Amino acid sequence: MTRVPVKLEDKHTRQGQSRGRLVNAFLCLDVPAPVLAETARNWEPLLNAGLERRGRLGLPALENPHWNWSTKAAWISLASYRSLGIECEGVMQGLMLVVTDGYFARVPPDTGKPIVYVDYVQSSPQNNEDLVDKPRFGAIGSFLMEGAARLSIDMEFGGRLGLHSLNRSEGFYEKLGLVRVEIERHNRHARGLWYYEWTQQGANYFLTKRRGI
Amino acid sequence: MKEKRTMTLNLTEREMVALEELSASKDMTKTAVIRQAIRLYQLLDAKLSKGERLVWEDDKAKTKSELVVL
Repeated sequence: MTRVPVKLEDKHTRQGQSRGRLVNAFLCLDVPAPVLAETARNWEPLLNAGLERRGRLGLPALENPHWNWSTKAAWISLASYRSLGIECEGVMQGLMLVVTDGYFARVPPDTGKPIVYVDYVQSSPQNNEDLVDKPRFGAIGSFLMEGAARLSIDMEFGGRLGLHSLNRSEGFYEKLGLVRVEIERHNRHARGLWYYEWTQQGANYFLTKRRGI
Repeated sequence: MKEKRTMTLNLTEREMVALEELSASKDMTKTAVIRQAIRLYQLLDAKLSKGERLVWEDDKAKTKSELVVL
């Protein structure tokens, strides 16, 4: 498993308006199947507690709260599936599963060229504001997206990637600069969801900005 | 990102033309095209082995065809 050092903000150490302490973490490429399964097991109690809390507070149900990472782990024996993770304090704080083949850009000028497709992405329940009062680590999703864009460059796809967004995540992807393309009609697993794409220009602009941090 | 190994590949003229056309239209090196072709072949084989189907649909012509592996 390749590990690239990154820094996460520990939001629990925030004081007033100031940023919390930055802690060492790793962007992990090719998270092994046993780690995916172990992470899913570790997340389960927190996830269930968070969902129970939402129910108690009368908050609306979340879309797809239970993504079965153990089942997904079976796919990563295939070369087209890659798993990414953010590790901090010895455990995974977020996971992403991407497919590197069989998906093509819908946005000009690169229509028809290959893209990396983000199949699943999830933060640990302790970092999810929908599940806990005070999420611990921030920027998990954007580091995972950075990893996917770098993988796309490594595959010679220029950083291009596509995904179908859950309704609650649309704002996040738009903030990162993904293009809102169309409501999915063909892919039955994502029918009715908005399809977003990171163009080569969009992904590279994001990566350039990150290097400046 | 991942460690890579090297091999020599011999292609026929037609295969090389196809590879060069794909390389140009997809804006990828020939190596990247070959790597993707291998991954796609493995994915296709795994899905078909599990009993899944591969179907092409043409919305305009209203036609549907299925890849059948004998």
